[in-house]
Amino acid sequence: MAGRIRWLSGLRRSQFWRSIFPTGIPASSRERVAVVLSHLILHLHPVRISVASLRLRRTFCMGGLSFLAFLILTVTGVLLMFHYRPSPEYAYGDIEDMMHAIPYARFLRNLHRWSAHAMVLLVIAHMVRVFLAGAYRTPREFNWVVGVLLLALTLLLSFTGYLLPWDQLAYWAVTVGTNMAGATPVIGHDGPFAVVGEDSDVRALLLGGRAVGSATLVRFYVLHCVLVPVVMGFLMAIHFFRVRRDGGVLAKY
Amino acid sequence: MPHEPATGEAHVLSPADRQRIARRRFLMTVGWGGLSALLVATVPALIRFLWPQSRRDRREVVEVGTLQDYRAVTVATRWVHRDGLWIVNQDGRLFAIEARCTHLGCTPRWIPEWGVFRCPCHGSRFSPDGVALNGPASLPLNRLAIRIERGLVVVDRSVRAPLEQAERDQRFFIRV
Repeated sequence: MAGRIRWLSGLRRSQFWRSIFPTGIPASSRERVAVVLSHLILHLHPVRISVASLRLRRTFCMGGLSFLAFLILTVTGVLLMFHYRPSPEYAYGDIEDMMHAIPYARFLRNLHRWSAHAMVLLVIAHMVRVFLAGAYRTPREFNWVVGVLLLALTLLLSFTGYLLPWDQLAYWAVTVGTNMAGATPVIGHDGPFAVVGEDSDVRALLLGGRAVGSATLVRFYVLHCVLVPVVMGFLMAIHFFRVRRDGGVLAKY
Repeated sequence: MPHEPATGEAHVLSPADRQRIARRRFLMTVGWGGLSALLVATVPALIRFLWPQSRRDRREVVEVGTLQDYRAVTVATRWVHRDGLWIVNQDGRLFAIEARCTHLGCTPRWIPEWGVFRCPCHGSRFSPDGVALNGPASLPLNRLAIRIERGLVVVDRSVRAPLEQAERDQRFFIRV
């Protein structure tokens, strides 16, 4: 391409360009390794992968698709945050605004919702594939555990996100869910061997009070938009790194 | 499929090779071109999505009751929250003062005990007719166009004037 457009190669030689991109385009294998390992974004990828590892039936891309769903959810989620207020007074109205009054918001909201459902299905499919391929055996046991944690966090994201529209479905689903949490042994006031009262058990912690209310909505909003995604990001970094480190998807399980 | 030669050697291309190169070039162009077009097309959509909703703004022309409501009142604070204005009855005139401090735009508060508007942000004070008494504000509060329409007092928030001009302009007061 650079050969075709003469001014582009002039730009490439400029100090401006070279301060942003210090290495040129690598020509040899050794240079390729050097460039990839010295770049912030590039070094997250392997220097090269074998063609055989791209075979669809190896993994059906389930893990990758799950991550894609996560990325779509992040981007659409951030955009939706511009028009949503996490308060019982506004939440439902804001979603209605988005569905009917704000341009392109209906599409983004729907995309967010569908991707959420898709992500849950994809991570389960991914888990099934890993299990049937025996890719949890040594040295991959720890990665399996990290994967299970990621599954739990995915479900938690779905759960917390479900409340945010503040409609009948959301309200009662959270009522039911938190009452189930209240029946946890020891830490739930309603469970066996309860050691705490209604005001300080895990249910109260989730709800931010005794019943589903504005405190719950804010709490779930922070969990949904900040806490769980950050923790998930961290665990995903470990998860992806371990896959690469243990030989990628091509290695014999 | 032939790769571009690394050295200066001559490399003879068969017709089949030429076809492959042409096809590859075509597909790459269409593919990357299509993707770029798609990405570029999302930009106006994104901007429109993020653009503020003018539907949420306050209404320009508002009804603020009848003349009877203001007979016994000096300063009416009833409409501050909804419309951002006070209706003031002073010296035989009824006028509308914009509830926006001329310093940096906060909404002052009417304090009946002191007989002043006081801005909570930086402490500017204004007399009942809007003159700046002290504080960082130096300009008096603006007046809004006011009239009687079908028996109701109506204020047009889009028409505003500074105090000196409004005192002389029939559009900005109602004789009572």
